[in-house]
Formats: sequence, structure tokens, C-alpha cells
Amino acid sequence: MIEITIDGQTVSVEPGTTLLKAARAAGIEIPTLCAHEGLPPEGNCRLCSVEVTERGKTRLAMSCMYPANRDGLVVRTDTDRVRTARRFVLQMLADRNPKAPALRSLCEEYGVTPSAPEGVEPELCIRCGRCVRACETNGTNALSFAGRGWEREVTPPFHEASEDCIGCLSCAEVCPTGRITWEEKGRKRSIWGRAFDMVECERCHDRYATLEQLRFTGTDPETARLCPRCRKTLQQGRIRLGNREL
Amino acid sequence: MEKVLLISPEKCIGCGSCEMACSIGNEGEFRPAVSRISVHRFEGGQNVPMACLQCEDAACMAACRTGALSRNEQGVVVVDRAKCIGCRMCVMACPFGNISYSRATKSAFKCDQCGGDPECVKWCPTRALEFLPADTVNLQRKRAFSATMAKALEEVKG
Amino acid sequence: MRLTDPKALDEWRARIEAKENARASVPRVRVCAGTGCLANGSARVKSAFEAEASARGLAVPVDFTAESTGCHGFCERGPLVVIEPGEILYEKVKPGDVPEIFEKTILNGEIVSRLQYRDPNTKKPARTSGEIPFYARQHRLVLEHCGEVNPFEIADAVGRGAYRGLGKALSLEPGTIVSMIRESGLRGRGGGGFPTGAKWESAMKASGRHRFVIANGDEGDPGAFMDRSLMEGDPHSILEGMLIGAYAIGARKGFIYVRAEYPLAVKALQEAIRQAKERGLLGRNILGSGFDFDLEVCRGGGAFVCGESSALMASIEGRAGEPRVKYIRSTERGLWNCPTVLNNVETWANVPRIVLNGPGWFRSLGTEKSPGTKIFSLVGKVKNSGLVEIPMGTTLRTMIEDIGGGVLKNRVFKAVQTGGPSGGCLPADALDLPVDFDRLTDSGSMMGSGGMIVMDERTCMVDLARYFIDFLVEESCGKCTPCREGLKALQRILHDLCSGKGRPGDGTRLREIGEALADTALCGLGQTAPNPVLSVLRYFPEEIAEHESEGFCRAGACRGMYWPEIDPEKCVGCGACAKACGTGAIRGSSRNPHVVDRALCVTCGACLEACPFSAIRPVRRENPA
Repeated sequence: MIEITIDGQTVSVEPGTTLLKAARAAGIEIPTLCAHEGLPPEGNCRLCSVEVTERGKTRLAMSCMYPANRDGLVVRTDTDRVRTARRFVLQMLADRNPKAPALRSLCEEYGVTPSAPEGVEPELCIRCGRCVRACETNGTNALSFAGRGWEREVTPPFHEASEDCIGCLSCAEVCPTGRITWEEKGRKRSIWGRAFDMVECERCHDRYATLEQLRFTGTDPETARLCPRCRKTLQQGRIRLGNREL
Repeated sequence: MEKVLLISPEKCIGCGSCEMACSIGNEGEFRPAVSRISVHRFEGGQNVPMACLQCEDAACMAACRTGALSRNEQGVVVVDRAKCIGCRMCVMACPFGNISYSRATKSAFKCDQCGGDPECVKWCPTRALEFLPADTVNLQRKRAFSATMAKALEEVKG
Repeated sequence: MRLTDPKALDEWRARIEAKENARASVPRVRVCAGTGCLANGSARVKSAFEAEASARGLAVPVDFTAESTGCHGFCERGPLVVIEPGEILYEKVKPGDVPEIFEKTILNGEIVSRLQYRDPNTKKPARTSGEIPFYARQHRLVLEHCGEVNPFEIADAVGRGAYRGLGKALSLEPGTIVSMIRESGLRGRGGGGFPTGAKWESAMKASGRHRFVIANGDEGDPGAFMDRSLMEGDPHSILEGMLIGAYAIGARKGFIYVRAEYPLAVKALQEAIRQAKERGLLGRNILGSGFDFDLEVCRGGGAFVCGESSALMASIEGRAGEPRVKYIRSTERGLWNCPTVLNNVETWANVPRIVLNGPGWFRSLGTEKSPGTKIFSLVGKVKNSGLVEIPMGTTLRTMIEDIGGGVLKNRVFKAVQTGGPSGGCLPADALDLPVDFDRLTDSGSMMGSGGMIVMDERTCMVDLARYFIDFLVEESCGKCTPCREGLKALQRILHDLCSGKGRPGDGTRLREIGEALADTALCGLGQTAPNPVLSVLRYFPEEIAEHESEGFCRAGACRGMYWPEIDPEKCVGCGACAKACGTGAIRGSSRNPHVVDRALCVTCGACLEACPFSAIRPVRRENPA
């Protein structure tokens, strides 16, 4: 374990712990957008900046990726420099995505007023890439960034419905702004321009998953005949039978 | 010493106290739908409570890609909500339907034995649910329960 | 023939030298085949020489060769031709000039004076390159052999000393070589100026099963072609530097990352690698030392950001060429997470010379904190544009006025942009600034890879900032918020300023966004991206203010933000402006002062450019758009 100082508090952490994790463990809140604990950090939204002083040098660093590696590291999460940096990042994001709910409370906290520039269509995507990383982490790799700079956007490859997509909805679940939408109508679930046939539970007829999802998870076909709820009931039934025998 | 959750369906009277206790304890509301334990009430007065069995070779854990599911020191499979990305692969994988997904909290959820002090056990009036030290006797009881299930499973499949 | 030990290399070199000496008095023509000269038709010049020689049957009585060489550097004057013996230099040679050159110079040793370089001021002709200030004030260390050797012939390079440094290095302990580089004070020529020795030492000490060396040849700055000319003109110096570096840090594999837009550089390097392998200078058991090393050329896809180290490595690994956040140095975890030394091609080319001549020799050149030389591509509104290598510490004035020959059309110097899109503009006040890493950084610009663009009074500094920000908006990968959104915000303001839609406070907004962007961006591209804007704010605040609140562009570059006005005192009535004007807005009779009809003028600026007497100047509009 090593000892570092965060906002004057001495914190003892495992070497390699990110400053974000260390701060949160110490009860110090740092705002984040692109960070998700289940996904590898990428440090692209630049919101979680903190001031780090190491060997006499002070710099702005992204707490989601900066590892605490040395005793005596001094971290400050609420300096003018940090607040200016965070305000700037929020302003830039909010100008393009004035209606994104995830930004609203942060903007209020940091005193940022979104001002959409002329000719810029309000959007909901902040390019944090959580969806892309979720898809990569799942091993489905059906989503990626395309385009450069301002044109960067999330899309299945070549803007076509991807054969690799299994319709699991992870991308939508991790999206902090609600940009990724999907629909379930009748026997179909649609997302990213692809429609999936839903598998129906043999017992309750609940459409509980896509065929691709079950295949990808490798769910035993026998198990897959029932939805999770009915699987449970079935088991309970078996126990009842078992009981009779007991 | 580790403890095990033991279920004795023959003692269950189907009162649903466990479901209420679980949902209020974990979600802050009386709503059996979000309870980690559920009782099926069969005709003829037979009731079967069911919660996660903490399988040794847990299918849910094997399916999880983000490390959101892990086994703690007590041998209980727990969900780290912050790490869940909502792929629901664990839900697909569990053969017993003992893990669910909540769109509201954007996370999978399952029985984690309330961190070592299960609410359901506290409120069960008939001791159909017990939380006992994992000594030889109790482990044997648990294994017998599981074996029954495994056998039933084989019969259905066979 | 494979060279099995350093002695065999020395013997081979001696044989080549002996052959060269024997041919010293034999006429020879060297035709520059650098990209600039090729674009001006040097390939046809070379064929004309060959055709002429065979027509005259010269191959029999006189041993004649027309050789292609790498870039001579004086690209402004290409195609360049050097005749041996005597090293006579001709400029702007056309195939039609070849018979005359043959008749006079090759056969009779006479000079064709109309093809000689003349000093623009004294009109004195120069016989050899050494007499031209452009070359005379340079110190060609890394470019030593560029323009002399045929880059496609390893024997040519070896005859001039290539791989001597390697021979010596292999007799030294790896640690000794690292110390030599550290003591030499060599700093990264790619722009960062990080001490090369420290990099090597860190990689040498880092643990890892594999180690890599990489040469960065992904030169992408507009107007820069130093690395290109080096790769095209003397590829073996880069290979040799990398071999020494690999031996020193314990790498067995290296990559040269070249942008795909440099096909000639790719070809030259691939051929150099092939020939070096054939000779046993690459591959297994190099020169019998037991040291194995292999090199591979990687072609970049042309993204500017791939010059950034983490993006470059991602690209080599086969992933999208985007930067990664790194709080661990690539010397510890670089390519495939292995210790990696990434240096610019020019840095690598310095290495053999340091090993051969010692760190003390290297330190005797340049300044204390920035020893050695640096190559610049001097371009823009300067008379002699081309490739320039100078000792560090040379002033901007020497570079622009002496080597560059001053500003084109004798206009007034306004600014020089150094360091490419990540650098900044320095005003006339800064002309006496000695050029080294730290002084340039202190002044708000940077060394960058070595682009140097000279600008005169016709350049609008706001428009220039707009140009570079436009470039960066195109080249930003868009991964991080500040660079993706912030550059676009800067671009919007700059476009408004340059089209008469400026608003009070725009300058302040530019500064706020620029400073925050520099502080928060993910990679070097973003962190330095606001430099063009910030340096204009620092040195040319009055131009920003005029654009912002007066709608006036004093350079006459932003349309609709000035009127061209002809000074009747200066106008001689030559009519050049009227001829240049596309809308017929300029009227006047011959030899009488002309006038501009504002009703017809579209402020295209053609008249300002055309007037040879600087009689037209931009004036404020009464009611700016």
C-alpha cells in the first residue's frame, strides 16, 4: 500500500489504483462522463481532471486513468485550474448537446449555460464511446467510431446493419445521454438499423431475448426454451417433485 | 465460518414474508417482482421458495465480460452494479432463472445473502429458510437439496 | 556479397573509395531527383544527358554517368545539376540546355553562365554551391550526403562513410553507447526536444521480453519536407542510427513509419533495407557480432495525428491511429506494451555521427542546451526556399535574410511561422532570436519538426490562424472533447472574424478556449493546437482587434474588410493592377495614377499582389460589412 494526499486527506491505496477510484473511496466526488467501471477507461471526455503534483511538478491529469504509483503524490480536485478545465469541457459538450440530461445537472453545478452556436443541430451524443467499449467488451464488436474530428460518430461498420450485433442493448444501457434508442414491436426488436426476431418462452410466451443473444451466450437450447422466470418456476416444480420423494 | 442459506420447502407456508423482506431490504419497496427470492405456490398447499444457489461453477459469472459478477470471500456471487453494462448475458445463462435484470437501475441483480445477514431468513416464520454455519451437517443438507434438483433436471432432460 | 565482420566492411569501403578516386577527374553529372526537382522535370533532364552522351558516343572515350541523387535542398531553383569535376552547379536546367552543357562544360570545362545562380542583390554568379549564401551559411551535417549519393545504391553510401558508426558501435558496450548519446545532449528532432539519451536509458533499463525501435517519418506539417528529403536522399543514415540504437537498448526489431504520401521515401527505404540485408548489415549476426536486427517499413494512412507517438504505435499495431492516454512512458510500455524507443528520422540520422566523432564534437556545434544542427524547410514568401540545415542557435534573421535571401519582391517581413500547425508566429521583433528548442518554446512557438514559413505584409495573421485551425479541425481525430469541440469553436470565431462578422469579445473568447484546450486535450496534437491562435493574440493583438471591432483587415487578405486604395504619389500608371483586376474596377490612363471604382471592386486582392511598386494599400471601410 502507498499513501497519497487527496484534497489534504491522506489516503492509503493499492499501487496502481486510479486517482478516481482512490478519491471516491475517500468520499471525494469527481464528475465523469466517459468512465464506466465495467469498461476499460479511455480518458476521452476530459471531465474528471484533477491537479497532480509529483516530484515537484504540477499538472492536470485525468483521474480515471492516472495511476497512484508513488508515495507522497499530491492530488487536488477542486482548484481554479481544475474548475476552469471542467467548465470548459462541459461548455463544449453542452453547446452541441444542450438537451442531454446527463449534462444538465453538471452544468448547473459548474455554472455553465449551454449556448448552441448558429447552424449547429442539437444532438444527444457526446462521443464518450461507452457504447463502443461495451460492444468491444462483450466481444461482439458491432459498433465503432467512424469519421474524424467534429464528424466523429458512433455507427455500425459502414453505416450498415451489422451482422455481429446480437441486439443485447448494452450500448443503450451504458449510454449516459439516451442517444441510443431501440424498439420492440410484435416479435421484433430493432436497434442500429437491424431487426431481430425475439425468442418466445414456450410456457408464458414472453419474448425475452433475441436468438442471436442466446446463441452468443451459448445458452443450452433446453434452458433457452423458457424465459428466466419460467426456468425458476420449473425448478421449483422439480423441487416439489423431489420433496415428494424425500 | 462461512454460512449457507438452506431452504426446506416442506416447511414453507407460502406467506411471502421473505419476498416482502427482500424487496424492502434491497430496493426500499414492498414489491415481490424485485425480490431476489420468490415463492411458487403450487396447488395442494405445496410452496417452494427459491433463491440463488451460489453454484460452484456459476454460469452467470462465466458469461459476464466486465467483471461485474464475482464471488466474495463468503463464497457468494455478488453483482457490482457500477460494472454492469446491461448485456443480460448472465440472465440468459442461468439455468435456474435466479438472476434478473432491472432496467430501472440498469443492472443485473441476484441474491447476495444481504451481505451476510439475509432479510428473508429473519422474517421467515417457519424456518423454511435458514442461514447456518457451513459445517459438515449443513453442507450435506445443501448438497442433498442440490442433488435433488440435479436429479430432477436429468429426469426432465432424459 | 555478405559482410561477415567489420573488417570486411572497411575493405569494401576502401575498394569503393579507390574506385571513386580513380574516377575523380572523369566527367560526371549529378541530377537532383528529390521530389521538388522531379516535379520540375529533372527526370527528363537526366534522360536528356544520357541521350546526349550516347548520341555523341561518349560512353566510349569518356566514362560518363548521369546519376540520380537525393535532394540538394535548393528546391526553389530546381532542377539542379552538378557537373564533376569542379562541382559546377546549374539551376533550373531544362532538357534543351543539355547539348550546350555538354559542349561547353563537360567537353571543354567552360561555364554556361546563364544557368548559374546569381546573387539577387550583387548579380554576381556563383560557380559552385559553396559560393551561394544559401549553402555557404548552412552546416550540413545530417544532410551531408543528400544530393551526393544515389539513394538506391548502398555502395555509394558506404563509399562516403555509411555504417562506419555501426562498425564502431558494435565494438562498444551497449551502455557506453547510451552514455555517449546522453553526453552528446542530442534532443528529439521531431519537435518535442526530449533528451534522446534519457529515452534510450529508460528503455534499456525497463523490463520486457521484447524491445523495439521506431523511426517517425510521418511528417505531416503543411510546408515541411525535411524528413522526406532525408528519407529519400540518404536512407542508410537512418538505418544505421536505428541499428546502433537497437544494439544499445537491446532491440531486435524496428519499424520505420512513413506516411503513404511519400512513395519515393518508402521506395528508397525499402530498397536500402533490401540492400543492407544482402550485405549482412541487417538480419542475423550483423557483421559477425552476434547481434540480430530486422527493420520493416510501415506506411501510414496519411492522418496527421499518426505522427503522435501513441497514435503511431496504435497504427503499427494494426489498430485505429488514435492517441491513447498515457501516464506510463512508451520507453517502458510502448509498442505492444514493450519498451520502445521512438525517435524522429532526423534524430536517428544524427546517431552514427555522434558515435563516430564523439559527444564532445557534437556539443561543439549548436548551443549548450540544444547541441547539434537542425534541418528546416524554409518556405513561404522567401526568395530561396528549400531545405536548410543550420547549427542550433543561428538567428532567424540569418536564416531568412542570408540563407533565404530575404522576402520575395522585397516586401516587408511580417512574421515567420515555425513548428507547423502546432507552432506559432513570431514577429519582426523576434528576428534576432537564436533558434533552439527552449527559446522557441519560450517565445510561444516551437521547434516542431522544422517547418518555417515566412510571411510578408500581405499575410493576414487572423486569416493565417484560421488556415491552421482549419487544417487541425480536419486532422483532429475527435477522440477527446477539447480537441473535437474546442477546435471547432475556435474555427467558428475565426471564420466570423475573417468574414466581417466579428464581435467584441471574440479575442477574449479565442484566448479562453485556446488556453483551456491546451490544458485539457488528450494528446500533443490537441495540446499544441491553439498555438497559432495564441501566438497571434500575443504578437498581433491589433490585427485581432481590428477584425473584431472595425471589420478591417490591414493585410488586405480578408475579403470585404478593406478597400484597395492607390497612392497617386507612388503609382506610375504601369497598368499592372488594371490588368490583374478581374472585374474592371481599376481605371486610369497609361503613366497616370489609377483609381479603384469601389462599386465594382470585389476585394479579391489581385491588384495588391500585382503592383510592383507597393502603391496600393488596404484602407478601412466607412461602413464595414
